[in-house]
Amino acid sequence: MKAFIKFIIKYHFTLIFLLLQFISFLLIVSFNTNPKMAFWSTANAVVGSFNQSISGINKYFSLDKENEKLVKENIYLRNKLLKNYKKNKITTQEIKDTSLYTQRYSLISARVIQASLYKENNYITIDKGKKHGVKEGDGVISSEGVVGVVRLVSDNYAVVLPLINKSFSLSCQLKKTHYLGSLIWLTTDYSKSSLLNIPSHIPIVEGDTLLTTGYSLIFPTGEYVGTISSFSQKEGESFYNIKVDLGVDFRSLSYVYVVNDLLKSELDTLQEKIND
Amino acid sequence: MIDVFIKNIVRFVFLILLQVGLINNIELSIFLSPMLIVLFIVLLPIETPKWLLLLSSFLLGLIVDVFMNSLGILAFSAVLVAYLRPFYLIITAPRDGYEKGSAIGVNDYGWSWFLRYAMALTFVLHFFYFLLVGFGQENFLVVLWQTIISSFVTLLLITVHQLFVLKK
Repeated sequence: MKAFIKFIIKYHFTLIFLLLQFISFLLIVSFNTNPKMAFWSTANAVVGSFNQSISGINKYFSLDKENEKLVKENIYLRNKLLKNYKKNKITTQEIKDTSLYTQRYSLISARVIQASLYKENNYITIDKGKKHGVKEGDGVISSEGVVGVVRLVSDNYAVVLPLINKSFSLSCQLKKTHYLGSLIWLTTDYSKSSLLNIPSHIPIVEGDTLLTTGYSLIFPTGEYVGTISSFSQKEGESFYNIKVDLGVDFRSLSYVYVVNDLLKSELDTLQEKIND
Repeated sequence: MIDVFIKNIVRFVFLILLQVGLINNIELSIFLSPMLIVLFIVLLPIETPKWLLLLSSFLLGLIVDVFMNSLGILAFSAVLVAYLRPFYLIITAPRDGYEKGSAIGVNDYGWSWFLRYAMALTFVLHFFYFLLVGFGQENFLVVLWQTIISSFVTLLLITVHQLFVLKK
């Protein structure tokens, strides 16, 4: 025992060092694998309110740009209003049957209070959390297109894994040919991404639009993701190498919508039944 | 003694606030994330108990990690730097040892010694930070450039700090 204590005292520096490195290592691993680490992230209440007060200052400098974006979205939505459409079909009777429609998605608006652009693992923090109905795994979109997926949630804040994070991949489809590919961020540029797994026998064109698929249970079908800026094909490879211009400008992102799939639990139980 | 203690606590808090409130928000390039918090480890007194050196560095890294969603990575790098510091100090010790009560900095040890010492610590911290952040990144050259550029900017900031505390 005496020898043991002597040993500890003699090598306490190295022992503490090894212990702390071990703890750090555990923290690194659990942060990447455990979705319940909200306390140790920017979703932390103290960190969140700190970031919020800082972004409050920045907000004033981007008001013009933000207004412009909102006006654009308003025009888009107004154009979709029924009263702007002239009826072409001649009907004598119109039946409005609300049982034909069930609301599937509801949106929660949120403000971006912190975002990184130049890390390999970029994250976005928003000012809505559990309290407001945000759940882990919810999709996040903006007026410009798909932003990412909610990764960590605390009571008042949530951390979003955006398209510009190396560990994010999104299945999306080409608008013209409906082929599916996966969008993965391989660059270091926050305005560009790459589309993988499109076989080279499929005709594609520059400028084709990428949309979310109906198979995904995270985003509504047909949300804008980006456009193909260029593509190439290496000799002997059966897949294209496609570069994508992302729809969302992450630099000026300040308001987003969290997508709540109201039918998700129903779909989940259905799929569980099949798996059993 | 108490005076030195309080001074270091204030530095600890101030550097964290500067790091997460200002420096982390200046985003210009993937190559630029200067970790000025290393200055805390650099300036800790030579007589600091070794367990305190490790523990304070761990805490420093951990707090900034939470702000950057990089949990554990900075803590790991900072503890490593703290562990290596005494060995570096032994190797580069003056012939008659370090003067008791002297503070690490240009005032007591001169520009050449101080900058080499600060550079060593800064470089190690940034190298391991970028290595762990970009884990799985095939391009090692990117990690190296990130380390070099960010370390350089950090050293520049440290130099500015030293110019402020310089006694003529």
